[in-house]
Amino acid sequence: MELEKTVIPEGLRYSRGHVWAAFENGLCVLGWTDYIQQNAGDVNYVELPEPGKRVEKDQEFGTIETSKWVDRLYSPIAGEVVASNREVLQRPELINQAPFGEGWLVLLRVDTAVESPTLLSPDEYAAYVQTCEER
Amino acid sequence: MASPDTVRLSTAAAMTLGFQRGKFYRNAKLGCINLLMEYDHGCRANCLYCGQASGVAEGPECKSLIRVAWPSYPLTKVIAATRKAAERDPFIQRVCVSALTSPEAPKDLVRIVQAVKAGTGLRVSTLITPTVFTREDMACIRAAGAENITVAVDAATVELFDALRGSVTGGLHRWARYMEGIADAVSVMGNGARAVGVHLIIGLGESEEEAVRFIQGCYDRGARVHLFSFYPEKKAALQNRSQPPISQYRRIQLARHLIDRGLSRFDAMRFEGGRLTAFGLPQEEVLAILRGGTPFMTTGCSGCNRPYANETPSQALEGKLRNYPFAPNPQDIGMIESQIVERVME
Ligand code: SF4
Repeated sequence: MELEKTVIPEGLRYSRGHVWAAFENGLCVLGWTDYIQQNAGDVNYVELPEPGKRVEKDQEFGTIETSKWVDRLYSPIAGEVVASNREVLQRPELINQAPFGEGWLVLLRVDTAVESPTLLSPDEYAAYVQTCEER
Repeated sequence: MASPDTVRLSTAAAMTLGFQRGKFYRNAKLGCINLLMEYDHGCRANCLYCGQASGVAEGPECKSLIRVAWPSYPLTKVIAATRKAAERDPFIQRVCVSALTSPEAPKDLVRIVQAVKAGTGLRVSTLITPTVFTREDMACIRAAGAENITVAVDAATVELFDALRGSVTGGLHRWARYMEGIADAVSVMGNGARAVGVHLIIGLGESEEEAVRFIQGCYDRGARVHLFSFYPEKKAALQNRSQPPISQYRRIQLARHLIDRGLSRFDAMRFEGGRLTAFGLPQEEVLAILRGGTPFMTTGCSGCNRPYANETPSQALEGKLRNYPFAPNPQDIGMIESQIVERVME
């Protein structure tokens, strides 16, 4: 799905904090959406948790900074950090270049196999992005 | 391409004009579009804290200046975009053109000021170096339509100036000419017109007493001081130097505000071991002014607010916003108060 030039891949789930989630076999990869990376500008710093750390639903798991903006990253799901993307710590521009690929952020072992009901489908996220644009 | 045909834009200006994507933390807005002149040979000076110093910049490639990249654009495109942006948002009040240390800079700056003035109708500031700008050049800048002339002295004492920008670095700048340049600018723009500024960077190695003495001296010469907090530029000779403690910066901001508003003077303030310990006013008055928040907002030509130029957005998130680009809210004021008081009590 493409909203104007914003890419919203099928098969992923989305939070209102503009984090995407990909679930598979009790694991979940989190990343920053294309919409937010386009709006926030060039990422030049990111802070991510160490493997082994617990992350709670709706709790902060890192921060992300562009030239003139910063925000905390909130996890849409609870779990334990299996891995953080070391590559984006060195090359934060990967988050802009490949938000759904090399720019992923963390891999969690999730507490429950059930996806969080508060996560949005691609269509729901597209509608949400539209409202963000109209604000 | 080089100035006056092209200019560099600060990242904040490029974002505001729609040339670059990005947003501002806490919805800050930019009040002044900052332009920087450019030449193929780069800047001729060699200031050790600057990302475009001849010793580190590798020609015209100005990688970073006051923390961000400065992409290059044609002047005509910048003027058209500025006019449109200012029509949309009256918060944009001013354009500032910074000159490089280069012999062509005076005549090119005049052309840029004329074009910007004619094309945008906004107020125009110029940031110049008296090393290459004579009193006559300043008169031409005024005649071209600039409302402000600012001299970037940056260092608070002659010793620091020489060590960081002058003879010791092999640089071209001389303190005596800078002091004379301030007087030239005041005589051209009019004494008492508050149309001449001096940039001062806190954290280059000066004591608080030296900084405040310098600030008072500028006001006594008829110029206002615009404060910056040192931020280590990547690749600059001082890239490993730390930022000044926030408490020190806060005290200088407050002292500068009191002098600027004619509420106190250097000689009325007290210092111990170089540190500012009393502002020359009853404590409750100082506290009331501090709680008003204005002393901690960006200082500069009216409208110039330079969001996140002296700190990273992450530092701002931690409450360490050096120059507030908007009025501080009650939480900010609480933080500022703890930052000042904490150290005064030590
Ligand atoms: S205070 Fe702002 S507008 Fe004035 S000279 Fe300095 S940077 Fe330019």
